[in-house]
Amino acid sequence: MATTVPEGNCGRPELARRTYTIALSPVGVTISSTPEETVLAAILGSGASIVFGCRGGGCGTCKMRLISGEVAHGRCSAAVLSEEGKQSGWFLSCQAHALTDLTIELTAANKYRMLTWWRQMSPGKAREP
Amino acid sequence: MPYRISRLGLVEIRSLDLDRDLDYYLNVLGLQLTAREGKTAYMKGWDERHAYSFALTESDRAGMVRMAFRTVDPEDLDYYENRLKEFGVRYDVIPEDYRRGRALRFAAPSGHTVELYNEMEYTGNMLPTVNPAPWPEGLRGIAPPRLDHTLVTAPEPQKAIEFFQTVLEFRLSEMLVAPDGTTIAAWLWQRPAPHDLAIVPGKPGGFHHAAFVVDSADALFRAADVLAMHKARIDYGPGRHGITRGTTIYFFDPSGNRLETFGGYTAYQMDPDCRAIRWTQDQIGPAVFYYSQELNETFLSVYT
Repeated sequence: MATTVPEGNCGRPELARRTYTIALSPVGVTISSTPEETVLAAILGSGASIVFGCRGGGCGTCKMRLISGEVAHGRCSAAVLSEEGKQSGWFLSCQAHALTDLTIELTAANKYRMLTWWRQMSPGKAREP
Repeated sequence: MPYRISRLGLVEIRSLDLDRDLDYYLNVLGLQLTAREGKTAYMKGWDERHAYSFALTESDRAGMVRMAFRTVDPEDLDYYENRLKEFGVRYDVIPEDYRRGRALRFAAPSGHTVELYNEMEYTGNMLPTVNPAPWPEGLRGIAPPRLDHTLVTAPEPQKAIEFFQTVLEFRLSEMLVAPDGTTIAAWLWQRPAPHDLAIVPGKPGGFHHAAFVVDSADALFRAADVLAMHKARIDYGPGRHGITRGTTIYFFDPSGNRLETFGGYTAYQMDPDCRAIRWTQDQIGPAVFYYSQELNETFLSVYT
């Protein structure tokens, strides 16, 4: 299991890009993410609000599902994210880093909330769908 | 009824990365390292006089391994062994553990591994026993003097609460009560402080937090400063609980286990005949977070 973003891009040229896009379904918002930040940090950095807990990979509150793309999972408690779960696309957004462009399927449990005006005014990263 | 348990003597929790988390426990929380033995690190607060009170073990998950209570006298261990037999509780006798003597180990109805023991190596605290200063120099981080209590989750809290009350003779200091009279959560004590153990609804074996003493308002705000300076994950606080009246900061270790600085200096002391304080369910907000008067999103849902 990769715990950090691998250097050398695993021999894959598409991984050499500096930023990836993360499409959030079904809200229809696409944000950008650097390889250094977690998916959770990228979403919060876009000015959106989303539910999360311990931010340590222990509680599982920030769990999300990937529709397409690839993430480095980081350190996650096996009690909240099993290997089978990972195979089915689940990941903990507080630990995962994008390795490619991603499409993520948010559920009601993620409690995605629209951008707040004061974050939109600041140098945010949200883009129109 | 005499007191037979002197304190919550040990909490052991799991770490997803022992090297990383040990650095946090020693330099941000500021516990004292007793020893690292394989995948487990044994620690304690600077004012604790036995070998350790907190253990961190590397694992593939976060959460609690066990909690252990120290009896007042060696005979109290026999007393409790008889009670476990009397109530038909299955237990194992653990002849010895790291720098610790005989223990009784059993599963509580909450799903937690609980131990009772009396003997642990007496190491003294970090001060001399002759003409000591009030505190040692050279402490790092928050540097709490000692472990205070733990809060755990149970799928049927009332069953777990009754177990600790009936079999282990914990007393009830406060409880949260549903409109139909059901106990939703309880704060339980043995030493004359508001709680050694608390139980709230949640998954079996769940670990909500372990709390370490901060003993003044000054220490409370200094602790918050230390956490923020290290960009630690603060969950709530500084604030105050309605229940116990203690001051609080909730924060997470790097593996996501919740910890607390508990300011028992604002709390009451118990007498054996103190009667339990009741909080009604509609007042759960101020019961838990007195100043904000409402639960945050994480209190009842985020734990390991």
